Amino acid sequence: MKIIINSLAILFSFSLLGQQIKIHGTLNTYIDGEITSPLFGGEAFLKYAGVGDISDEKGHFSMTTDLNLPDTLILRAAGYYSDTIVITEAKDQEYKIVLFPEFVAEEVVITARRANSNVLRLDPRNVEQLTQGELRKAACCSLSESFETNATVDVSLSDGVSGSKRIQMMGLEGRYIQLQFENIPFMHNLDQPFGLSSIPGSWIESIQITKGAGTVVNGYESMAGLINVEYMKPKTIDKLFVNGYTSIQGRGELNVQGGGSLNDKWGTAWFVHGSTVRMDNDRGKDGFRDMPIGETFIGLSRWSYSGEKMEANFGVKANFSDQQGGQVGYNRYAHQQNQGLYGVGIRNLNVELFSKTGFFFEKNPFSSLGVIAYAKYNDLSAVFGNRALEANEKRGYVNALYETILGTTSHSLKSGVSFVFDELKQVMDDRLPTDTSMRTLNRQELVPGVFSEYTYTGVRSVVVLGARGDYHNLYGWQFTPRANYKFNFTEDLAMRLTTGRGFRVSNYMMDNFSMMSTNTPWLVDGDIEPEISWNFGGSLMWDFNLFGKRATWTADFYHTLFTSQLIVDRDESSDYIRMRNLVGKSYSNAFQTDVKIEPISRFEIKLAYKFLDVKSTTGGVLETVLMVPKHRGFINLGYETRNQRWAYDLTLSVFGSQRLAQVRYADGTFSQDNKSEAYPILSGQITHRFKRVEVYLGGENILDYRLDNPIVDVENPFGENFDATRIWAPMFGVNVYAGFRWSINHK
Amino acid sequence: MRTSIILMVTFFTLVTGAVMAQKEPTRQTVFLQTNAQCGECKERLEGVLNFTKGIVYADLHLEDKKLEVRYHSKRISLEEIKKLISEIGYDADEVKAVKTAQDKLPTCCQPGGHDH
Repeated sequence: MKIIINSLAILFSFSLLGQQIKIHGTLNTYIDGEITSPLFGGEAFLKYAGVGDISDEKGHFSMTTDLNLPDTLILRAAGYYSDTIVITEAKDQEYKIVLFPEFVAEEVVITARRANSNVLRLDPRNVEQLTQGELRKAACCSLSESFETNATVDVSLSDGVSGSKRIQMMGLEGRYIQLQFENIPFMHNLDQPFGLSSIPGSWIESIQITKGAGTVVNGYESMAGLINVEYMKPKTIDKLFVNGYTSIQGRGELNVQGGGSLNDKWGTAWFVHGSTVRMDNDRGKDGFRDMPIGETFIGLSRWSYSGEKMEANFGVKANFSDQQGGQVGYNRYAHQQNQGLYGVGIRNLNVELFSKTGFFFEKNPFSSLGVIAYAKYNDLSAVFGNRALEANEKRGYVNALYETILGTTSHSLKSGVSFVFDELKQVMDDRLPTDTSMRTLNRQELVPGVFSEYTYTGVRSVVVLGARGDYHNLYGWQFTPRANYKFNFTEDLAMRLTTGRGFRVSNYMMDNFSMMSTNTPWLVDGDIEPEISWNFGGSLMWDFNLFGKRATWTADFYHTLFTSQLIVDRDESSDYIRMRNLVGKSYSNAFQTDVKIEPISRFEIKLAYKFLDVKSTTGGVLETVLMVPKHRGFINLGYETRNQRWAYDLTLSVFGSQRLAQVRYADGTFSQDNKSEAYPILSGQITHRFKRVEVYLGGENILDYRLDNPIVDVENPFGENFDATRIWAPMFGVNVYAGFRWSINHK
Repeated sequence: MRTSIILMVTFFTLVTGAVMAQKEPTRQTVFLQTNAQCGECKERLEGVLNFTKGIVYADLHLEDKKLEVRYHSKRISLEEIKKLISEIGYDADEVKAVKTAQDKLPTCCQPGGHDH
C-alpha cells in the first residue's frame, strides 16, 4: 500500500488549452528491497475521467484527457498493492511510482466489496474462492452443503440411511480431493466420510477450490484437486455472533461465536455449534427415517500472536456427533434383540490440535520460516443393521517450510521437510445372511518427506515447479513432481496449465463407508495397493465487458489417469461387492465452462455446464463409473437491493443420467434398467437485513424431486437383498427453513 | 358574474397551488461531497446509512467521493443525514467530520491515509 514517489517532475508549467492535460510516468517495483525494475501490465487510470493506460515493458504509461478536478489516479497491478494519487492541479505531470509486491507490505488492506465467488486472478493455479457472502446465499449448515450453490463441487447423498453427504469434483469422489484448513491437511481416514459436516458454515471465512494438482508443500494427496477452508480469524470475527436455524424437517441448529484482539499482539476467537434432529421424517412411508435423528456438538478455540519477529496461531477443535437412522423407532441404546429393528448408528468423537508459527528475519525481509504442527484423535463407532465398525485413529503432522527469493522477487523458492504419523485401528464385524466375517485394518504410517517448490514470476507468465520425495514405511519411496504454468495473453485473458502426480493410501472401509448400508457382502482382496494418479489439465479465463459491467467466462478441461486404484467392482457379480486393485484402465475427463454476468446493477447471473466422462475397468469391461452424471447444468441468479436490505438468490441444478449398480430384488429378479433419469433441483433464499440482525427464509428442492422408494427390499432389512446404496437423487423432497444471524461488530 | 369568475380563477389558482405544493416529491436524491476514500469507508458509511430510518439507499461513489443518498424528506432531513455522516467520521458538504469519530477510523480511512 505504501507508495513512494521518488521524483515528481513537472514538465510543462505553462498553461494549456482548456483543461486538457497529459499524465504520464513509469511504474516500477522493488525486486530485492533496494533495486527497482519496470512493472509491465500494470493499470493506471483516472477514476473520474474514465481514461487509462496499461504500462508497457519499460513500465511507461501515458494518457491525455479533459479533467474535472479533483480526479484520482489509480495505479494497480496483479500481485501488488494498488495506490492512488489525488490530482488537484491542471498541469501535465510525470509520476515515477513504485508499487510494493503484496507479500512485502506490512499493512493489510481491506478493499471494496468483493465478489462472493471468483477465480483468484493472481494464482498460477485454477483456484475458485467462495467467501462468507456466497455461503450465506444458502444458509449452509455445514461445509458439505456450502457447495450446493457452486458448480465445481457436486454434493449428493451417500446412501439412503446414514444421512451423510458425499462430494465429487471432476466426477471423482471426495477422497481424491485433498482437504485442508488454513493450509493444514486434514480429514484423513476416519473423518473422511463425514468430516465435511463437522465444519459449520458460519465458522467459515472463505473456501478455496483448486482444480488439478495442488502445491507439493502440503503433501502428496491432491489428485483431482484441493479444497482449503479458512476459519474466521481473531482479526475478522465479530465481537459476538449468533445464528439460529430451523427447518420443517425438524432440524434445529445454533451457532454462537465471537472474539477479537486482546491487545496489540494477542487475539482470540471461539466458536460453539450445537445441532439436533428430533423428528422422524418418513415421507416415503417405507418405515425408514429419511434422515437420521441425533445431536452434534462442535467447539473451536483459537489464539493468535503477532510480534515483530514472529507470528503464531494455535487452537483446539472438538467434535462429538451421535446419529441414529434406519427404521423409525430404532434406538441404539436400547436392547437390540427386543427391538428387532434395522438401525444405523454413527457416533464420532474427534479432537484436533493445531499450531502455525512464522518467523521473519530483520536482515532479510524476503525470507521467512514457518512451522505447522497438527494432531488428531478420532474415535468412531458405527452400526448398519448387522454390520458394525469400531475404529480409532491417532494422527500427527509436522511441516517446516523456509521461503526465500533467489536474487530477485521474480524467483522464489519454498523448501522444507514434513513428517506424518498415523496409527489406525479398525475392526469391521459383518453378520450378513450370506457372509459372516470379521475384518481388521490396523496400520501405522510413518512418512518423512522433503519438498521444494520454485516459482518464477515474469511479466506475463508464472511458472511453478515443485517436487517432493517421501519415504513411506509401508510403500517405500514416493516421488511427487508437479508443475503449473500461467500465461496472460492480455490483462483480461489468462491461460493456466497444470500437471502432477498424486499418491494416496486407501482405506477400503472408510472409503466405502456408505457400502455398509447394503447386505451384499464385501469381497476384499488381501493385497490392496496405494492409489496413484496423474492429472493433466488447463483452463482459460476471460474477463470482458457486457452491458457495461464486468463479466467473466472460464473453460477448463482436466484428465485424471489412475495407474493404481482401489476399485469397487459391482459389475463382476450382484452377489458380492469386490474391492481390489485396478486391472485395466481408470480415468476421468472433465470439461467445465462457466459464465458470470451482471446484466443490471447488483443482479448477477452464473451459468455453468459440466461434461464428465469417468470410466474404469469393472467386471472386466471399461465401464462408466457408478453414480456419476455425464451432464451437469447449473444456473444461479442473485439480486441485492441498492440499500442492501434485501437479497434474493435462486439456484437451479440439473443432474444428468447416472449409471447404477445392478441389484437383485426381493423376488429374485435382477434390476434391468440400471440408469437413473435426469432431474432438477431448485433452491432459493430470501434474506432481509436490519442493522444488527438478518433473517432468512429459504427452500431446498422446491420442485420436490424425490426418490419414492429407493431402498431395495425395504420390507426385509436383515435379508440378503436389502440395499440402501441405490440413492442417486434426494430422498427428502421439499424443505423449508428459516433462521437469523445477529451480530455485534467491533466498530 | 365578473366577480364570480375572478373568485373561481382565484379558487382554482389556490387549489392548483396547493396540489402543486403537495406534489413536491417527498423522496429526494442528493449528492453529498465527503472525504471518504476507500472500500472500508464505503462499507462504514453505507452500513450505517442504509439501515437508518428514512433513507431509501446510500451509495458512495469512490471515484469522486460523492455519497448518493435517496431519502424520505418527511422522515429524515438533509441536516440530520449530514450530521449522521459527520458522526461516522466523514465530511458531508459543509458539515465537517466529528474529530473524535474521525480519529477512531482505521488509518486507511483517515484524511491523508492514502498519501505516502
